[in-house]
Amino acid sequence: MECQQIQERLSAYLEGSLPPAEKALIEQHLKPCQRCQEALADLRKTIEVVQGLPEVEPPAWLTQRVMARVRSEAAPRKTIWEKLFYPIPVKLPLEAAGVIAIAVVTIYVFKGIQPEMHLGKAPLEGMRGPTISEVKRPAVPPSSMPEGKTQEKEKAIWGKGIEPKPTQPPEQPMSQGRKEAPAPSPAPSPAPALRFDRTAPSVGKGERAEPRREVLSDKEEAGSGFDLAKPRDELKSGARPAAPQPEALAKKPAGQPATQGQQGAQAPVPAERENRAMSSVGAIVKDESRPESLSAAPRGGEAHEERAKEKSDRQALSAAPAAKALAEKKQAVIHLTLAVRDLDAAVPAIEKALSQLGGRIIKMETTEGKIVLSAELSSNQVRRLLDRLRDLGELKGGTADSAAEEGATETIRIEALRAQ
Amino acid sequence: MKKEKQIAKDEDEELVSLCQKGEVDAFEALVRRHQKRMFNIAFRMLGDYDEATSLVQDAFLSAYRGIKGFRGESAFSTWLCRIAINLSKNRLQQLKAQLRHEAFSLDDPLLSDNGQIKIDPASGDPSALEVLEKKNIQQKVQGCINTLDPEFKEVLILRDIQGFPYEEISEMLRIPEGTVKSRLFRARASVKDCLKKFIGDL
Repeated sequence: MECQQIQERLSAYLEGSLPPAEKALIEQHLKPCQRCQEALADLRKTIEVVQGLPEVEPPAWLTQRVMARVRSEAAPRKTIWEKLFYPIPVKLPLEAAGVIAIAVVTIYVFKGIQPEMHLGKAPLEGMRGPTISEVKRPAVPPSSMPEGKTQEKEKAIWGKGIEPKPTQPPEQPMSQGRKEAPAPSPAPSPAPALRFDRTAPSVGKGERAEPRREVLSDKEEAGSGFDLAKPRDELKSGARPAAPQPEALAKKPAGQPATQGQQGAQAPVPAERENRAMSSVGAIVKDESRPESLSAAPRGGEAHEERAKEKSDRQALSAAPAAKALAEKKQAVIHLTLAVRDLDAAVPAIEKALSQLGGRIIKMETTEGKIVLSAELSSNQVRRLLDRLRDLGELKGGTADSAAEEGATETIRIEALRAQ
Repeated sequence: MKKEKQIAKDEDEELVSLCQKGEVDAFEALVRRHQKRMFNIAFRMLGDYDEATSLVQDAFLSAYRGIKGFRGESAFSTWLCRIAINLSKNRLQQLKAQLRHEAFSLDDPLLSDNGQIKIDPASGDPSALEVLEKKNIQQKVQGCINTLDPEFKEVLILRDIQGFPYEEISEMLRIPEGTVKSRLFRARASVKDCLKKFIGDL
C-alpha cells in the first residue's frame, strides 16, 4: 500500500471505523514509514485544533433583533383585513366619521341643487297645458273637464266683464292664468286689485285675448301676433314707452287701480304680458322672467331687448340691479304643502291671505284633487303667511329658513291637497 | 448526556407546538435556546462575525415562517441547523460571486485571488505570547476551514466543531452516513495540509 493510500485512510483509522484487516495493514505500514507517522501526528493535531476551536459568543442583542424582526413579520402578516381595520377602536370611529361626513356633504350638495331641478320641471308641467290643439279647439264644455268646478267658477267670475275668458280651454289658467291666479277667487277688494294690476290690459281689450293665446300655444306664431309685433317694433325703434312706466308701476302698491287706464292705453304692457305668458311657460324659473314679473311690466319688453342683444339698455332702468339680485335668489323657493278639507274653499282663502299680505300669485295649476299655487311674497311676510295657512289646514314644509334679506321677494309654491 | 438531550428535545417540541398556535413568545424561547449554536455554525461557515450575525437573524426568521410546516420528523435542532447550513451555503455563493466581480478589498483578508489563505506578516513573529500564538493558530485554522468547499466545510463544522453524531449530520444534510464520513476525512486532510503549509510544524 502506498503512503498516499495510507494517509487517505488515516482519519478513518483514528476514528476506529476501519475493518480489522485494513487497520492491521495500516499499522503494519506505519511502523517503518516516518512520513506516514508524521502525517498521522499532523492529522491528530489538526483534529485536536479544529475540535478545540472556541465557541464564539453571539452579540447580546441578537435575540432582541431576531424577535423584533419576527414580531414585525408576525403583525402585518396577519391579514390585509386587519391592516385596514386595526386597531378597531381608532379606525372604526374614524371610518364611521368619514362615512357620515360624506353623507352630510352629499345631502348638502343635493339640497343646493334640488330647487333648481324642481323648478326646471315646472315649465314642463306648464307646457303640457296649452298645446296647440287644445288651445285652438273651440271651447269644450267645462263640465267634461276634470277641473270642471274650478273652471265653472272661473267662468262665472270672468263672465262679468270679459268675454273670451269663459271660452278658454281649461288648461288656460295653468299657463296664462298663472299671473291671473286671483281671477277665480271671489276674494274681496285686494285680490281683484292685484289682478287688475297685471291683467288689466287683457281685460280691457277683449280682442287681445285671442292672439295672445296663439302666442302662448306656439312661440313661432307669437312673432306674427298683432300685440306682440307692435310693441316689439316700438321697442326696437328706440321709442321706449316702457321707460316711464317702471316707476309708475313699481311705486304703485298692489291694489291701486289707478294704472288700469294707463295700461289700457299703453301698448308695451300687453306685449310684456305676452312675453311673460311665453316665458311663464318656459321660464318661470329663468332669471329674466321673474325679475320682470316682480318689478314692473315694461321690463318684460326689456327682456325682449336682451334677446335682441341690447343689453346696455338694461342699465338705464333703475330696477335692473334689483332684478339681478332677485335673479340670484331664484333658488329660494319655499315649498309648502297644505292639506285642507275643502279644496274649493281653501284656494280663495289662500289667495286672500296672500293678497292681504301684499303677495302676488304668479301661477295656479289645477289638477284633480290638488291645486298648486305659485306666489311671490315679501320675505318678511312669509312667516305671517305660514301662520295663516296653518289656520286653513295641515301645513307641511317651508319652515322659514329663507336666506333672503329683509324686504326681498320670496317665491312660494303652495300645494293645496284635499285632506285624506 | 443522552437524557439531557432528550429533555431538551421534549422542551423544544413543546415550544414548537406553542409557536404553531401563534405564540410568538414561545419562539423567543427557542431563539434563546438555539441562537448560540446557530451563530457558531454560521460563523464557522462564513468566517465572519457580522455576516454570521446577519445570517442567524435570517435563519430564525426563515424558521419562524416555516415553523407551521415543521412536522417533527427530525429534531427541531436538526431542522434549525439545516436552515442555517443552507442559508450559509447560499450566502457563500453570493460572497464568492461578489469577490469575483469586486476589486481586491482590504476588508476581505480571508481569501486571496487564488482562493488560498493570505499570510499575515506578523504571524511568524516567534516572540509572540502563547495566548496570542494560540489565537493566531485558531485564526489560521478558521482560515483553512474557509478554504474548504462548502460540502466539506459543513461536515467538518458539524462533526468536529459542533460534535453532531454522523446519523444526525446525515439527516441534516440529507446525505448518506458514508458520504458524511468520506467528506469529513477529506476535509480534515485538507485542513491539515493547509495548516502545515502556512504554519509549518503543527
